[in-house]
Amino acid sequence: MCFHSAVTNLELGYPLIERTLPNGLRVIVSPDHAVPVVAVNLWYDVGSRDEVDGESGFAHLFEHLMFQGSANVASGDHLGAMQAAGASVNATTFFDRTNYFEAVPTGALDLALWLEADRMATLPAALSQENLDNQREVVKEEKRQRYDNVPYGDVFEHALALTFPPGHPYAHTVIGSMADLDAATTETATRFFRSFYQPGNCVLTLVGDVEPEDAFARVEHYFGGIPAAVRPSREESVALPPLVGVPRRTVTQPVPEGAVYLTWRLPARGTRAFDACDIALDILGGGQTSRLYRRLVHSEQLSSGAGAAALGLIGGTSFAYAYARALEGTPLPQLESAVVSEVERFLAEGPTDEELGRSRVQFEREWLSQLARVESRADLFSCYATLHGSPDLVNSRVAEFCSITAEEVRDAARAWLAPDARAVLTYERATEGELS
Amino acid sequence: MTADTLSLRPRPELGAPGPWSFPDADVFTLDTGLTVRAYHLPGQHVISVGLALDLPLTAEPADKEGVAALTAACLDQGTRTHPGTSFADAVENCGAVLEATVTYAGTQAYLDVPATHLGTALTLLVEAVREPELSDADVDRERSLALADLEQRLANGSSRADREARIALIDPACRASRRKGGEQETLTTITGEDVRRFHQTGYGPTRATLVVAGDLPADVRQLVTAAFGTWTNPAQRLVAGESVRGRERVAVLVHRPGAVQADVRIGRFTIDRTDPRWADYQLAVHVLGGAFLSRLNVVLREEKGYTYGVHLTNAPLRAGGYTVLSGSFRNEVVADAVALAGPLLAVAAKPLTADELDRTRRYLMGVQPLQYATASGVCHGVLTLLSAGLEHTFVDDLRRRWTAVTPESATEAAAELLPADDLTVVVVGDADALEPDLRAAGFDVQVVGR
Repeated sequence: MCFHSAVTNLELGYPLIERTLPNGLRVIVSPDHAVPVVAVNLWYDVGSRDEVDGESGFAHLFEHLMFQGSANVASGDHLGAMQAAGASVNATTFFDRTNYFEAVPTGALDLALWLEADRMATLPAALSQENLDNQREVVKEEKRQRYDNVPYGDVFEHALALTFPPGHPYAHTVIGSMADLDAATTETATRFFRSFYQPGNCVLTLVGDVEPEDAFARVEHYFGGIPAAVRPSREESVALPPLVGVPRRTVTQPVPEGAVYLTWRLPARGTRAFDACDIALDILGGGQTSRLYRRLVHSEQLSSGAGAAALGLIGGTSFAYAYARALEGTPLPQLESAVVSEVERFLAEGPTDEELGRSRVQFEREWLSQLARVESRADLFSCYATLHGSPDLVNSRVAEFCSITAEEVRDAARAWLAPDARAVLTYERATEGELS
Repeated sequence: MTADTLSLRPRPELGAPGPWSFPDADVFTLDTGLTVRAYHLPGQHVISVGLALDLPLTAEPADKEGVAALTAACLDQGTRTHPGTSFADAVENCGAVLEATVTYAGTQAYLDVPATHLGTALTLLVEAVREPELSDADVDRERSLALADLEQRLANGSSRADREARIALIDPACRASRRKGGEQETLTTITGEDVRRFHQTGYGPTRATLVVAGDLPADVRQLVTAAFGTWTNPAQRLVAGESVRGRERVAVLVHRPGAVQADVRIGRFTIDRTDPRWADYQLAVHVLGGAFLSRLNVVLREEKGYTYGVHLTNAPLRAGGYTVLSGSFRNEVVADAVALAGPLLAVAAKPLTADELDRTRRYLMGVQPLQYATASGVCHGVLTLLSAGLEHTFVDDLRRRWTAVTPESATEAAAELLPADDLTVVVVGDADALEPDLRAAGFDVQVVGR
């Protein structure tokens, strides 16, 4: 066995220089001259958790509007101009953030910064009813394509509603409700922009073929003239206790096979207890060496797929799930009790040394793989600056993760992953004409 | 600068991109016939290793289609040295991840591993291809997983549409008209003996290539030779691939009851990378449906709001290929979207412009340094080219050829290869909801599965 680390002392050495402009914009630069490309990455500290009642899906709709032009950029021109410069561009919305990113040939860095600055400064100037209506339709098509027209596509909608109390920031999905989107107006969009899209609520990271002083000067040149604004306040996050009473929900749909999902509440990301639970879930359900896969898919052949994972969230409480999909009509109660018994065994025994070692080296490879790409490296720096205070944590993350002990994993699993603290979502296979 | 009032800068001009070319390889051949291509990429601490076997799916017996994919799926289920689950444990214990997949042109095993464990990982990779157990129990289990996976895919509108498009575009006599993983009828009949025979006659170092990319240790040649130097297979038989052919235009509506959206594919059998028109055609296809502001996406997404996105892509095989438009549309607008697509693709009526081509060329040339900046990007890129019978010099050659494309040459290639009045249409969705509109729009669809 070879559990040795790939890097000396587990500490990585990516260079990081950070400065904050007078208007509050945090700027991180990390030079890497391997290829003549720069990754430009912006994290706005706004996600679906910031949506108020009746405005679910708004953070994501807004992400679409950010590509519909600003005072000096025509609708669609941001993406069009960047692609025509040889850049790849996209944006995503999640519970805890909205990120915008482009990876550009070095000669296109100025244009990328100018485009990002223009929409940060002036988006409402281009916000029209026509753009809003059009992108609302596009988002509805996105929801149909990614969730409504796909077997098990609504699993998160049900699982989140089971795991978090009504009205909780994480109780609804990022895509949100189409009825809420229908209620959106250009006024609500402008209000949303003024609250969250401002320099003090953003981290801008550049990774790639740049010199730090030159990079800071360019950022100052394009973003320095954007006025500071009052940063939005957010209610302090409350850590929810584990679930009680095993809440259940059953949906009947024309899925290819029945399936069982168990969910739990976990501590917020950025805590040792969360990392410990993450390791426990990896050992239970991460890949084909995991306990659930070995038993349900490999040995007993009850299941065509089984796994478990943690979804780290910053607002007080994270989310975990384990699942198993039936194979050739395995009864769902049998599937559920098999999953539960594996969880119970883990709580009783904790991880073996081999399992813990494997979890560590696999984490290390995954972390190094993410850092191998300048785009995802920039995204991690923005992430750790936004959610955890410092991008330096990216360099020490492997060491931190590998310092979690077997006892911590066992104790955290007992505290958070007890079968009594689960919720259960079941997909029953619909026979013809029977739909929930 | 304090910024109490807004002050913005004028829009900057685009600077020139930095010079770039595909990374060089250290190429050597082992006595066994295995070719090794080693790409040294400083700073890439996760090494990617790919083994490409020259084993096209034409090697499968006709009544056992799927045996190649099933063999690949069983490779990590145990070896003579590491029986049963101890093999997967050994792979994961050294921080590696290993998978094997098939393309129509061959089987590929792929491994990612932190640089410090490269030697161990290479010995595990050679075990998997040289001495897998391939027990009856493993084959039975992986076959039922493959059948369950097939059922899941058919239940997914987009996967279903991809499959139906291949059937509609490719001559049914060609292996490439059917799923790489096999269909239900043949998969169900495959036994452990079939898999072991396929492995015995198909897996070997002759005409195989090992790609190693990343921040390579100084002794990489020794590590590779130590692991692979004794891998031989006197029983290996080489099989020719197929030259894929297209078929006559059809219009098909595949019934998927209750679907809230239809998955649309519109395409034609076209060319592969070795065709002299490839550079012209590739740029044309990107102008029509590759870019965000492509002719198709601007109208169907940005103007009409009919779709989350519509794309026109080339699917080149080793010999022959096809071009296909893909998009999902809500039921009410499907017929209109399909009717708009033909005229939007008609370059004869609206030739490609120099500006469109410049933008596309800059995009395709600009994203390549990024695509090939990582060990994984280089390894996968080289594997893709190998399965097309090409080497990495193709990348730099193509960049030169792109610069020579003119609006006239690109327009001519698209007009010839993608005539708007000779396109196959495949719609997967609720036929009850879609058929009347499609017929009213002039599409004489043949309804399947109702």
